[in-house]
Amino acid sequence: MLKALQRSFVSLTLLYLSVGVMGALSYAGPSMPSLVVLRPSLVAGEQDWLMLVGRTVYLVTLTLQVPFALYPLRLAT
Amino acid sequence: MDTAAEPLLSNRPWRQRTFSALSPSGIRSTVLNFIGSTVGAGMLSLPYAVATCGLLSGVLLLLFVGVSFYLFYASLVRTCDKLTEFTYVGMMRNTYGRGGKLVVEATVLLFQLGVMSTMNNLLCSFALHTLLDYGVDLDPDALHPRALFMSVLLLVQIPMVLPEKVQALRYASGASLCCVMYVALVVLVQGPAYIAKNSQPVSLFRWDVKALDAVGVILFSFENALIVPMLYNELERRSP
Repeated sequence: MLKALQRSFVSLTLLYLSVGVMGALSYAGPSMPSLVVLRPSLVAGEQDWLMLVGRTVYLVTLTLQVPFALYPLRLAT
Repeated sequence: MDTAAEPLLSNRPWRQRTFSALSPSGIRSTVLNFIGSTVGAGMLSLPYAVATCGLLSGVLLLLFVGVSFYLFYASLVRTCDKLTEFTYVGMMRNTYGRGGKLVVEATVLLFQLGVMSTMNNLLCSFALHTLLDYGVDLDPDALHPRALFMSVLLLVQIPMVLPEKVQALRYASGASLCCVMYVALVVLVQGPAYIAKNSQPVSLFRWDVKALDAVGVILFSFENALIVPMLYNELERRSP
């Protein structure tokens, strides 16, 4: 299990560091939104289609959070 | 990982080992399920958290929290082995008897109900605002679209909880991880263009009241304690 945990944590930390640092450098400012997918487009007034697709596919990730949260509840007894 | 089909020190090439079918209770499935259940809304707030507490302190905080959670989960797994119990409720029953079991059952129930209602409410709002950006004519705060979306969401989510093992979600976790990687890739690829345009400097250290928000976000992004004993229980060739 430690092997699985080590692999998971290395992947997670690299992912979080890259998104956290690059995201913070790219759009920090007084009007910074709290979610990176809601950042304003590079060209004012135009839709950032790449990020809009990102928001759409991220719904899959968020949808999966609830079944994972319910498993401990269901299997704990 | 099937012990008969895949020995510990496999001689199969890396490509075959990486892209072969995911067996339940294997290390790859466990890693996918762990990451799939950990990465959530927290990752999307990390840039805000790092900018809020300063670039260098944000990086140090991320590393510190990551190592702390790793040590916590490693000790949790060892505790499971010592008690031969693989749920929080079982561990409490084993250690504190029936009273402890009832307390932890009530707290787990409240916690998970809170997570479920908050997550689905956020998800609903997030999805409807995304539809609005696609040009769909709707009021994201109106009752009817929210109720409709919430019903669809429950129809998708409830069947996912029916299998007896968490590892049944391993392919869904793989799909979820692909979505996460897509968002990360967009942030990384568009980053240089945004940096060239952004004139706001990012401080290296910033410790004020707002930095406490960042601590909460970073802690939340690694938290996944309830699922760890179950993944460990389902792992074949278990050893801490």
